[in-house]
Amino acid sequence: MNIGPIFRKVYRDFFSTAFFTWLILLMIEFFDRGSVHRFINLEYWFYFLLLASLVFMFFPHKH
Amino acid sequence: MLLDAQKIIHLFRYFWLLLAFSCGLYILSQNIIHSRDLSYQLNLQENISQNLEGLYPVQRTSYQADTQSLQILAEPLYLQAYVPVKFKQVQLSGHWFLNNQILDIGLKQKDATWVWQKVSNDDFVLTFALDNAQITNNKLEFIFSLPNLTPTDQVMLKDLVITLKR
Repeated sequence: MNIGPIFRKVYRDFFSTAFFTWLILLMIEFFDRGSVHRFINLEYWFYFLLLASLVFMFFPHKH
Repeated sequence: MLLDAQKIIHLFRYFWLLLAFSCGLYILSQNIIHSRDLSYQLNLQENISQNLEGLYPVQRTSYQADTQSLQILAEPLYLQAYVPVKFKQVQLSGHWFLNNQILDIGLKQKDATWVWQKVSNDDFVLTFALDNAQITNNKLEFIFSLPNLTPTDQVMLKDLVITLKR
């Protein structure tokens, strides 16, 4: 079993879930200021997404 | 039975979704206020906490570790308190070492004026109505004024509790 493609798909799912969760929480924060950001730092979450997307860009993949 | 690739991918996919759902549930649970009163204790060592911001400007205060109190160096000072849902009143209670200083505490109103109350004793309890209070970004704003404060005066804040009441 080739781990590479599996890991890539798992990582892509992880990134998509993290991104859309962050987006939903951001919308909630805009709607009701303080309801999310007091508990979860959305800024740090965004920086994490940025780094995660950079890591994903450098994954070797077949064309 | 060995797991094949698709099952591993689906397993992790559901795990990420479970994490995201748990995150949402956590946020929801933290924002449900079922009690009639909500109290915040001011941490004198930290300027910003989860529910309170202040007293600021920070340069006008100095934390004294030996007495565990906050010395007031200049005035006025401001405090913001988070208001998650609608409340009717806010109560400020605490303990100051005023040393014969006059302390006025104000709550910002919708028309940008302040409603003032005087603190006459070192131990005080003040209640403000929130009907016309200005709530910006779910925060109330207080002002602490010591009009006769001089650089040589020793005014210390020992304890401050903000209680929101329905």
